[in-house]
Amino acid sequence: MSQWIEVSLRVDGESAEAIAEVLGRYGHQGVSLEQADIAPDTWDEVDLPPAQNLILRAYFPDDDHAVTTKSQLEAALGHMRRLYPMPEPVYRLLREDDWAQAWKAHYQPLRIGKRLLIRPRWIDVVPAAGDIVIALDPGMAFGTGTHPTTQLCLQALERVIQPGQVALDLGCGSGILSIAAVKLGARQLLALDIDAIAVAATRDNAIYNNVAKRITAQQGSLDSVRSAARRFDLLIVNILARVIIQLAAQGLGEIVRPGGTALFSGIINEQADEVAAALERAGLSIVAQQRQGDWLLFETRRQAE
Amino acid sequence: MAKKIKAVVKLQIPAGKANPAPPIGPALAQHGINLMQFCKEYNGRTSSRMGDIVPAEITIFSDGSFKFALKSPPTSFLIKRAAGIAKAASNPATETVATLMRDQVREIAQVKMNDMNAIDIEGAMRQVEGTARQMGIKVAD
Repeated sequence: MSQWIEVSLRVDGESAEAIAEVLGRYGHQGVSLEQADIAPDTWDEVDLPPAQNLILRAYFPDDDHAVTTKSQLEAALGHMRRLYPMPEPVYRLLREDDWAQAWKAHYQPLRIGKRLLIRPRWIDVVPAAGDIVIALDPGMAFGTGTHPTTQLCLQALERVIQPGQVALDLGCGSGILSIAAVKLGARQLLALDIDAIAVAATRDNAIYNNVAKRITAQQGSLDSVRSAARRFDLLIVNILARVIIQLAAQGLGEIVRPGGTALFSGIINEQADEVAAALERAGLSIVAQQRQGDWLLFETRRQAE
Repeated sequence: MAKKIKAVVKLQIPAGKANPAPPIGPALAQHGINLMQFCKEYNGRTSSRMGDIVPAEITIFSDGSFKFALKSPPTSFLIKRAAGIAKAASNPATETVATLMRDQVREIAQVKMNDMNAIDIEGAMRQVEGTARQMGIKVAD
């Protein structure tokens, strides 16, 4: 597990912005600004705590560059200090494990659709008759079953899957949809993700759920499938509106067998029209749509040739 | 009864690219938030603004639930974009790296108005100017 260095500074609201800019230059992918001194059980949604003091935090990897990064950061803060009084930064070492495990305490079993029961691998549940149980350790991959986009997909899979289908899960994340598709009747499934962490999580979860023989998890995207000229009875894509639009323009429709079904999720309402138009252009007709909160799922059919 | 607030965390992060690495992982996990759920939600809502820094303000309640709102990009990000520079001055006390026109300051102040403590546009403009100076950027009429 990799180690990180956290640098934190307690500053007033007025100087926070400028100091956050300095931290952002050296920190990995941005800065966190947490309000300091929030007294417990005092403030609520109506009566918000004032942002007088903030704790700024940024993180950089504890690697060969750490010493250089730290001295550059110190120099930049030193220059700022001539314009603005501020405390010395505080450093501490963090292991990825420290936060990778923390949220698991709040991950509970949940029922989705008519028969699906998702449970964390570290919690045992007694299924009811007819339940299809998916045991999951998402690790650091997307797909816990708690988000509307995943729930919309799981409900749609229950409805559309025909026994014996060959399916593709594009952007498989934790493997939750792949495993559900196979347990609901798909004969073979190819699970692809551009993220190696996701591919490893899908493989691991597939083995744990005894469906590894029917799921092939690989690193890759649409290109890998198109170059092999493969076609699928069922396509599952739960990514982001923007990515779906890009994939649609790159021949996404062609990997679905004529008459086959494709499900698209991860679409926020305001981008629905744009996604719908892109899918129609790719030869995928929308036959149904489901909504949960601000999120939308499109069920589409590839026009017969 | 309204839910009590446990913490308020603002993350200044690139739109559409949230993942459980720092700063999101350590900043949110300490409050027990489901990281991947936050990332999915944030990316879905910001994917159309790729290339921008879109801050998310996350309010965490004492019952473990949370809500979040997207904020306007940080003033420093808007200033850099308006000035056409990638980096602020490393020594703003002695170095001027760019000049902003007052109209540009006004535009930035208008974008930031809702998220600032300023009472009027002039107050917001003064805050923007202050941030610009701390970045080694001069303001001209």
